[in-house]
Amino acid sequence: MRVAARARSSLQVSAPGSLVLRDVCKRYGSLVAAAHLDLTVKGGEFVTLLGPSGSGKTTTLQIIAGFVDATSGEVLIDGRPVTAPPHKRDIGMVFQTYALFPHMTAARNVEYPLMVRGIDKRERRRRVVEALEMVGLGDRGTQRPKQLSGGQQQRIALARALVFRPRIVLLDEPLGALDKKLREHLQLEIKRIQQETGITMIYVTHDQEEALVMSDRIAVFNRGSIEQVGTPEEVYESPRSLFVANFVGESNLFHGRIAEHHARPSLLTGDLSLTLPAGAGRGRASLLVRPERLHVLAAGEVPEGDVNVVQAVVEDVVYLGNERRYSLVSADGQKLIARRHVGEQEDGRAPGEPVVVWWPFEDGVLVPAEPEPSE
Amino acid sequence: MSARAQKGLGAFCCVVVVFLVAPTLVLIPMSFSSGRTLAFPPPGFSLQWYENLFGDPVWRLAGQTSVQVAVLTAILATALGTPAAFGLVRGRFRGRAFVNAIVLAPMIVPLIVVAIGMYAVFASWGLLGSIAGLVIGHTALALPFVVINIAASLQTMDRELEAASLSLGASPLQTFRYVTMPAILPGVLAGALFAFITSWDEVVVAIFLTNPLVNTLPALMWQQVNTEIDPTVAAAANVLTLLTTVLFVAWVVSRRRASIRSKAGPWN
Repeated sequence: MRVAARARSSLQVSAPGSLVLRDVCKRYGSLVAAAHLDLTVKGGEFVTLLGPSGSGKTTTLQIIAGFVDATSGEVLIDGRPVTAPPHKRDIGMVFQTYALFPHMTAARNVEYPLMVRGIDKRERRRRVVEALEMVGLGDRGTQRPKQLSGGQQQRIALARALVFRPRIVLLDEPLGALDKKLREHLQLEIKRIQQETGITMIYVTHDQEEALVMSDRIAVFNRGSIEQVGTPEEVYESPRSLFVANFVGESNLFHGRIAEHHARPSLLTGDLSLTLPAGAGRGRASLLVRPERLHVLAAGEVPEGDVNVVQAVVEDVVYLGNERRYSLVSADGQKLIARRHVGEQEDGRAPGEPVVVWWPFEDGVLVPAEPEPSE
Repeated sequence: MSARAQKGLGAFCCVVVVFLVAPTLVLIPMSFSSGRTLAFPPPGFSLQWYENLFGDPVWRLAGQTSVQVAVLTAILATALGTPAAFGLVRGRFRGRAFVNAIVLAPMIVPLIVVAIGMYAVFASWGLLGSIAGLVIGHTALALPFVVINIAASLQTMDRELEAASLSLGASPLQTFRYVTMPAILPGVLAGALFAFITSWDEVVVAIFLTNPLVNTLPALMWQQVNTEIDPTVAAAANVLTLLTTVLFVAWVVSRRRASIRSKAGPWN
């Protein structure tokens, strides 16, 4: 049945568990929570919905899960429009608050989706054990949620969401309540489980580092719209809007106007003329240079090659173990950030020191001044 | 606050406690009186009035009727109050505040007014002097307690649990049975207990709705006090108090156990 439907569909879908949002909108009165969302997720893909709170990512998740009805648009799973109520969608869900049933043991929690499906007891037992083993809590089945740590509770919740082999698993800020170290550990754990099971995961977070670490692709949300969808590298290295440039990673941004300067496309900003990477258009634009792309030399030294040069003064230096983070102020008064590996040649500038900041032309990224209108 | 002031406050609390429980406690020695009239202090010790209470068919029948009416009231009030609480907490309809006020009205409206109203209507329906009439009357009085208790549980319940249950494939009915009901069960039981006690010691409505053949314990006590002052009334009063106290203590203990159980210890 499902195979037939997929054959009829025009989508190129290989693995099961594909998801398509087609022009999905959600309005609450005059408030637009989600505007014209288009997103295609392949079966077995890990896609993160990244954005600040109130940007519509959780609303989107709720629409996929069926807890919120879209005002217009379509949700397709495996090529077929979904309109069923939540309990018939076959979608697993993991919540920030874990949402484990407090009156049941960990094992009973994991067994729950199998129990309500009327699967026989022996099969249930086998799969519960398997799921608990998978999340590394095979010995905690008899404990109640309150007796488990936050990280353990979330693993149980994950096992519970996977044990019935749903088509898609939705995770709503699942690590938001955990401390940094545990969060990083569980990020890799969730990623490992996702790769082992080959299940489609849609992951909501406002933590851009988490998104970069875990995702096959990231959809960046801003004010109810998707600003950009791409691999972590695409989103970080080639943001298509100022919002994405600012939200994902740290950024040095120069705002100005594109003009020809010495026969090269340049950005005129303040007193500076910064040469742009090839392929620049015209009009107002911004130039993005990531902090790790900035080089810092002592004043007086002259960098060679096709590089942009900015005179600056070191304002502050923060030692981060493997690197130093320089806060700089250019001659124009613009704040810049540079990250240099500890021990390398350019390392070792002190606060108050005048420096030369430079980067190769190709390391800059041109960002349109206005966000590109979504198609 | 000075130590003296603290001691003063403590003493004041003791006075309030004595004021509250003394009328109840005074009946205990009176019920064991060897005399023939209700008097304090009693002239000597005897169990005769308890013998009389449990031996006299009139008292015994009243006790049975009271238990029967209280149990049925607890069941009916819980059965009606649970969906009502759901509607009031979860429902989004016009006039919800109004319905809420009506449900809680029996707590505020003077009992005598309710009693006379019921008397008039039940007389024409032939419900006077019947178990059914008493149960219906007491259910109306008990409903606010049931609704308040269950509504409080519903309001504090984590609704994400229900969303989780649905996402895991449980139907709304299964979700209610396996997730919602266990979560609000303490509220439901508290409501049922309050309903039982409401009926168990209710006298005003009972006086109007009972007759010599269908009498509740409090109503019979009232009649007895009006006709012959006999320490059996004191014995009956103590039985009344004892059952209420036992139920309440059992409730508190079970709540404490439940909360300890959910915090520690191996469990399956």
